[in-house]
Amino acid sequence: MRVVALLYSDPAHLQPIAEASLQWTPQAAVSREAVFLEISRCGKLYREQTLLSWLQALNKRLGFKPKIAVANDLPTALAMARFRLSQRGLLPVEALSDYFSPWKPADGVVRMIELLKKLGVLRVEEFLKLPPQTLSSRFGKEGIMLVRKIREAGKMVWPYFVLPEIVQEKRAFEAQEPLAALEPLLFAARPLIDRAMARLKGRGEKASAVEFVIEQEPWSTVKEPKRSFLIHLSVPQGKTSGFLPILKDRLESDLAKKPLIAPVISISFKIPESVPAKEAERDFFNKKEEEAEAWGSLVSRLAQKFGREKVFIAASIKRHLPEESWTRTLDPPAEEAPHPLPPRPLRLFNPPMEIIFREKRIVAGKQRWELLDMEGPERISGEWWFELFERDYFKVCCRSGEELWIFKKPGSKRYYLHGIFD
Amino acid sequence: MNQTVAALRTLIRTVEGSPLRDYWSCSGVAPGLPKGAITQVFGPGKTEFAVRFLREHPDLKVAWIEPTLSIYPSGILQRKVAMNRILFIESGKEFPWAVWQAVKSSLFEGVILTAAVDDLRLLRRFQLAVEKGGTSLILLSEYPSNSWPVALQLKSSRNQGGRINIDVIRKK
Repeated sequence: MRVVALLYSDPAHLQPIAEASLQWTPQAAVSREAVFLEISRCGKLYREQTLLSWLQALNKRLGFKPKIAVANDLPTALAMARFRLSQRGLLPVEALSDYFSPWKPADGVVRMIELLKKLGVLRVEEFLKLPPQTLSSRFGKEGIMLVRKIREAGKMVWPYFVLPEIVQEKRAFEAQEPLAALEPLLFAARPLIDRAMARLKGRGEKASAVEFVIEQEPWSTVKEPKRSFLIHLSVPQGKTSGFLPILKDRLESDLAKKPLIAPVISISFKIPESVPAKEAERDFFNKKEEEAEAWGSLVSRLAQKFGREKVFIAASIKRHLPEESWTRTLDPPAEEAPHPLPPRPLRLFNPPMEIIFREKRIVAGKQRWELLDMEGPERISGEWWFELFERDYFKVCCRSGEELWIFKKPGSKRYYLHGIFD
Repeated sequence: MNQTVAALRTLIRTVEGSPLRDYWSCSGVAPGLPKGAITQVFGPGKTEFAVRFLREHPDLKVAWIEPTLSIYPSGILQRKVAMNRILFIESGKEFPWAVWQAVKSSLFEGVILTAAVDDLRLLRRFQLAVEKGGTSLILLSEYPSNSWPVALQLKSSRNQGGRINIDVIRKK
């Protein structure tokens, strides 16, 4: 067994690191002050040293400074991290409390440690050399239990690590900080987003919706002290660099209309909706992953600004009605073979415009054309399963050089301009 | 006359050592559409010209931006242009922002904008952005603009057989 222990002075750092580390090992545990990762079964995926460098990079990115150690069992790893030692034999007797209970402090062991020091036993190894038959008379039941726990440390049962249902990060500010402008707000939000995205990565997910909440000082002039910004992402995001510009655009437009008028006292970042992420190992020689990330970020920003329906890739669908023959999607369609139909225009009016068509003259609103030639009709009909339609289409060549696509319903004298061969 | 001027310009650039502009090959336009510059196409058949250009470059990824969408994707597909390489953006009045984002993303080699852009400052901003990103901005307009940031101005027209003619109005 190989265990990595990461010891933190701030308990708030434990949960994000444990969650983010799930990307490297499925077995993690959290105590009151440390995160433990079991890595012996991942030996074929990466080397110990590689994992340690990844963990250090992750902690650096999130602004945490843990003490890290690797050992063959959990209590030894914890003790080695606490006393910054790389050999078990050098551990001081104070480390016995980690062996007795790595999850919570035990009072009985503290008294025993003081007694051992008085007896001149200063290291764990020396404690283990004491005659076993003297342990109960000297230290009571704790002495016998402790020796057993040290010898069987590798068989320790790990508590189940429960993931919170929703990823949420919050940060409070001192009321004196004049945090009401956009740039400082984004600067303060970045570590929160970083943390939330790292947690999400550990879960193997990407955010499909996020909620950013700004809480202002509840001044009497502030009508809405808590401002919530719910952002639905067209393309799920898993990186801070991809999401931050989207948040910036949203805040920029919203705060321009309704600025913050009181100092911000807290901000929170929540991910209420997420989807499984399909992530592969980054290919050093291929930029596909980077491009996919940039694509996701761009599409989400554009969709955030213009609306989800306004940014799309077109895909054809099998419909006879010309205006319904394509759909909007964001999943690139497979290459399609064009339909063997008479030429279709490149510009289409939806809905079609009613026109006046008399004696070689076509009038649509303020525009006028003089007819030169006319091809057709091409009868397009069908779709009785939706609503039966019948149209006779004509391609009209005008003196100005423009080509129009007009239609009339059979038996009707009304003509409609449907498109232009622009 | 035009050919002589172009040859002279090439010669001067070679002597001065300034980098020559790259071009996308394009039938009917010599030497092609400039990379990292603005090309304006106006007149009947301009969209047909843009789609024909896309068909000639099957690997070119483009953002197709229109303030109000009137493009007919089925028509594009019928002209044998794969639609999975075109991102359509219906931008409303904020098309400059959309162009800016598309160019800045470096995801597209080309951006096609169907809009009347007469504002010189805006065109200059577009010019700087596309120069930096190496993107080709193809501006499909009803009327020609006299703005100097446009590197290549083309007039399209249809003859009586429906064929498209392209005339080079201005080339920098």
